[in-house]
Amino acid sequence: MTVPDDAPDCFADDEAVDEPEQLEDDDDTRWVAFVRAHDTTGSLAALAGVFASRGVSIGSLATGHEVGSPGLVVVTFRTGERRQRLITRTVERLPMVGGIVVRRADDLGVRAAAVVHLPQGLAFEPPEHAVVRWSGETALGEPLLVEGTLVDVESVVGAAQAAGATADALVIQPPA
Amino acid sequence: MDVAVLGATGDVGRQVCTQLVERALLPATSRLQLVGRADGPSARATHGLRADLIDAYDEHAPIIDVALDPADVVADIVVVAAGRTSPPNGTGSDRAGLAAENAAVFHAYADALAAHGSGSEVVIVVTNPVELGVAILAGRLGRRRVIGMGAWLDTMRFRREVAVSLGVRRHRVGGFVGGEHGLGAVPLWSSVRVGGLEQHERERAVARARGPRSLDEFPAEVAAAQARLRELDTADGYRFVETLAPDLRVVMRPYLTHHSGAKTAAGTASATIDLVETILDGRDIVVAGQVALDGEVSLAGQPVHGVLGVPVQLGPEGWTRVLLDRPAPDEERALAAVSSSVAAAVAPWAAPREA
Repeated sequence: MTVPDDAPDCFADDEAVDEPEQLEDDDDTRWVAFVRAHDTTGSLAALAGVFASRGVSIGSLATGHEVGSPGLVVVTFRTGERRQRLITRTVERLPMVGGIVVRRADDLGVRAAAVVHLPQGLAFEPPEHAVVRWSGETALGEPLLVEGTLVDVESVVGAAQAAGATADALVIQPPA
Repeated sequence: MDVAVLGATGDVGRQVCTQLVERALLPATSRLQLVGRADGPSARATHGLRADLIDAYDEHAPIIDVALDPADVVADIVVVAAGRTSPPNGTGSDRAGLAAENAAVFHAYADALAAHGSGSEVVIVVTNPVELGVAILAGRLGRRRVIGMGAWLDTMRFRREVAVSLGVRRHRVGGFVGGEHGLGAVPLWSSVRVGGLEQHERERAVARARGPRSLDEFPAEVAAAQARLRELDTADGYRFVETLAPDLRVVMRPYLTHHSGAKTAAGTASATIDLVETILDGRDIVVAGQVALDGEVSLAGQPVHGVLGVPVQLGPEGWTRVLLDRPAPDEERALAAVSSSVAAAVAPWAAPREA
């Protein structure tokens, strides 16, 4: 699994021509929704339909299960705050949904973990600016394991991909 | 798109929900929200209606959701069918009581949608007095997003009555009714078009159907017809209605139906669904509806600021343009008079509630 494609571009284009400063686009805010949903036929389709029918593209969607709890669906998407509230309220009304919590993707409370495989012999460490916990001697062929805020973990994965990572997987952790 | 029906378990609300589902206007991935009140019998009946609709139409039913708090209304289209209906033999004081009681309902939902809504819901008012509902909801949510369906129902009735008189099917007849829903309707004879007839043919046919009459006498004709109907039993009443001119039949037939005790739920719901379908389809269609005007129309030399039934262009975001081009002089006088009476009737209850 690669970094969700709605993540900020990690690579600067050195040949870019100077362009007028872009104003922040409210519609481009990235969100993470944690949805408690019954593990039953049609739940994901109904959930996806809420986004699709409102023209909001889902960046990533992952399902999880905790023993003794309803299913958990984690969705990332980009839209403005007003439409995020509409989507949140609409998802809440779905009969198969037991609850939803939405956070901005850059919220420090949104945590993620990733595993990255790099070619043996390639030593890689997370960039200094990424505040993450990590382990794995990649030069020895060990996978890199990293945990931290979502944006920092994505930053590490992006840097590893640029360095030649051969595979990676990222999971967004449920809120505490 | 999702649809919420406020007052879903009432006579009209139930018909709206049933026709929406039966006509498969909402795909299975959309949501129909049945809205009731936590402190009334609808608290139980909404759940029962949900079960009944799924039982009957499971093959193509949308997701059906129940809400009992105005703050929980979430939809792209909101149909306001909540509140009390006028009693079959209501008096003037009963109608005033109806306005007072339903004003509270309108204000409650207007406040909730203003506080919790997305800001882009289109609201279709069905509950009477529809002009009061439009005034209150438009005042809180924005004029363009709110339309009353009364004028569209009157329009469909007008087209049918003209079609019957001309011996054609309704879909061959165009034309609109404006004014106030019910006895204050203003049939816009100048807007009548008949498919397959050239202008001179149409003028002759309309003149025969209408007779040598003008709308200046219409209120008196309506009052006289009402008085006659009060003397007749229902069956004789319908036979009497058949003898009236088409524009009088538009007003008196539903008046008699309501007073028969049968009410007009099916026809009202069907006209409401027409408007819902227009919005769902994303088309821009010319319909008639009660809307809150702010000078788009001038009558008798005065710009109209207030609620009035007029032909409008309706689309997925609400109404956009008024299409009332050059009404006939008697139509303009009638619309002006009704505009004033509607404004006077709405004024006591339309002001926003204090927090």
